[in-house]
Amino acid sequence: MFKNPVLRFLSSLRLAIFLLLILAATSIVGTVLPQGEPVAFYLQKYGPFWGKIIKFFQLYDAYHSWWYVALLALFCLNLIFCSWKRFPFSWQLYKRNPLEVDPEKLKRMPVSAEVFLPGNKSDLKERVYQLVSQKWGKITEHHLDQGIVFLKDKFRWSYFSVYAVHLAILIIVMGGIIGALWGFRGSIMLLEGESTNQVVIQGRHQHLVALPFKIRCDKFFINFYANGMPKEFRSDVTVIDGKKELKKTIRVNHPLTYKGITFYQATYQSVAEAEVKLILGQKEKTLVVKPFGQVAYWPEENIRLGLMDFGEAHGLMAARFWISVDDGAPQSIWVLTNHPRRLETKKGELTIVLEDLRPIYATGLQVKRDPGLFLVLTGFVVLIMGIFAAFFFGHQRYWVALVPEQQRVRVIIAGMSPKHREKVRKEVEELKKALEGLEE
Amino acid sequence: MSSSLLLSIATFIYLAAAVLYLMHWIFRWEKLGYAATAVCISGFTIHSLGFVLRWWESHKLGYGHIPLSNLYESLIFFGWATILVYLFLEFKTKKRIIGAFATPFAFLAMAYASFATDSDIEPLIPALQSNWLTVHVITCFLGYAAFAVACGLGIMYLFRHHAEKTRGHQIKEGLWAHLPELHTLDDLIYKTILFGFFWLTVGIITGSVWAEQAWGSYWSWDPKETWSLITWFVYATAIHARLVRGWAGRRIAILSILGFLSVIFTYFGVNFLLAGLHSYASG
Repeated sequence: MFKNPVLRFLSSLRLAIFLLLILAATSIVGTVLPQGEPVAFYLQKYGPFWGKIIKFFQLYDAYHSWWYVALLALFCLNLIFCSWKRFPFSWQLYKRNPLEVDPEKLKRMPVSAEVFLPGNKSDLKERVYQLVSQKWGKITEHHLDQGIVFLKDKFRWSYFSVYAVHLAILIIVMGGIIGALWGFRGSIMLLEGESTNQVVIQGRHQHLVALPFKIRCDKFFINFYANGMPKEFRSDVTVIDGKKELKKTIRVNHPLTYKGITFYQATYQSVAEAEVKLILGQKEKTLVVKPFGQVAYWPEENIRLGLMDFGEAHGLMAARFWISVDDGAPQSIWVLTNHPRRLETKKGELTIVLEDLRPIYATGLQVKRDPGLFLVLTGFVVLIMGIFAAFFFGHQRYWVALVPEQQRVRVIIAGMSPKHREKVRKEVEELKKALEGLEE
Repeated sequence: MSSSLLLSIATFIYLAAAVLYLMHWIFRWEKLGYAATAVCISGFTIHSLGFVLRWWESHKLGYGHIPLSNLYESLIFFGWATILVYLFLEFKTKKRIIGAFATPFAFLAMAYASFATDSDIEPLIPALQSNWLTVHVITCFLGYAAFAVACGLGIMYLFRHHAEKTRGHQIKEGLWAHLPELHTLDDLIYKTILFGFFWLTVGIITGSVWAEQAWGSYWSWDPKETWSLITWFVYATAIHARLVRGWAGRRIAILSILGFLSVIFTYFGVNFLLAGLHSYASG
């Protein structure tokens, strides 16, 4: 069918076998070699020779490396051209005229049987019709030169199921590409009570994406079974879209989708927020210090502080802060609750009172937008249905011809199926027995 | 009577069935074949009871879930599905010798479950609390079970093929002559692989949809996913190889064994070896 040697190569089944085996073999690499580390890691661990090979073949990200993507692309091309080459044959099989037959041809079919029934054609026709349609459902009646023939086609469409399978794979790949090009996948870490619209995109080039709305974590819950295993991770959140506020819940396996963006419960952190009173001479100020490198500021005195660590000491809660006065070098200091600490600074003695240290959760959400997802899911459905049809359904065609002879009618039953010859043989055998029963 | 006791009993019954099938093959004693089938079916019944009982026990503990949630339970189900697929094949073909090559897989899975894994019933962690768990595990393991039987058939094929090749003609006598003929085995291997491939595909897809729902990614190239795809590639090769001249028969028998090795690696290797590799690498 293809004259061009390149197309002939691309449409060959041998290439398909080769690609399937090569893909199977090369896919192993990324499962044994640690993935996603910086190149320096590999150079150090595997030495300069293997390190360079890993770098050149991008084995640090094997499934997105140039050669793996090229193999996948070749696989898709092969799939397209293989199907293209074979489709006309399937079309011919589908369109093949079932009435280009005569009694002799029917006798030579892969499966055939013959019964002679006494009586004339018009009498028997109705009875045979009844019997055959009872067995096979709807049948059609056609005229032959020598008599009539009843025809039954089963699963004639099945010639095309293999193309549905191949198409489904292409649809899935297409969905994957669309998702990779126009979607994103990132995460946010939100303290209870905080809101954000910034999503951190992980990967080799970390960056931020701004959502068109904000999400606030109202409360995070973690529940346990009696044996200490986690039972539920749950974030109660509010979506803030302009003036609109929507209260929602996100649990593992129960994500939240809003305006095409989906939030998944991924992780959590148990941290603390501190309430601190600073006293400098006559002046004092109470500040709330939040975790994760957030800076609390006393603008009038130009004092900054942040929470570095927290824990328990002598039965009391303790927190460790860094403090910077007048943009000087930060100093670190541990403070116990209700045990004020004094610190000598440029501005004089600074007293730090830890008034409260509250445990607080931060919820970790995966955030993603995937415009290709619908295609992928469609591909999944088509793939399952296609494989089911391709494996378990095959075209079956049956003829029951009635040829009048003197005082009797010759009935020829014939059947063919490219896939299910045994089944056809059984069906024809059964019908033959039933027809023989008509004699009595 | 606890479920683990019932399941241990089933394990030993499968051992007995495997031995009977083996003797049926070696001594060509027809009656032993019937005995093997009877023993196998009784093992399967006790196995099924054990499965249901474990389910019931989990409900009594207050966190009822279908027993498909950890290595022990998956091995139990794998053994069950293998016997199911084999008994169906036996019912269809009446060739009991296949049992000598199929039931040992079920016995080994059950024995491994009983002696080397933790059989405590535990509640489901949040990630596993999903209806996809049931669908995903059942479909995957139906596929694995079919591949185990196909592997047994592939081994039979290679034995008989080797015997015929060394003697240079079709064999009529001896141990290997009792095995089904090569073209019959080839046909059975193909059909079993088709059955397994369908379930493997559904298994990968349901896993993928589940991952999408739980973590927001239908495919993330983690070792388990990747190895299941490798397995899928191997069996896709076997299915297409039939259409190429010179590939039917021996090469497909080899692929059926290779494919099952890939299944084993997907199942155990990824859990034990790769996890180890990765923790070593990051440590």
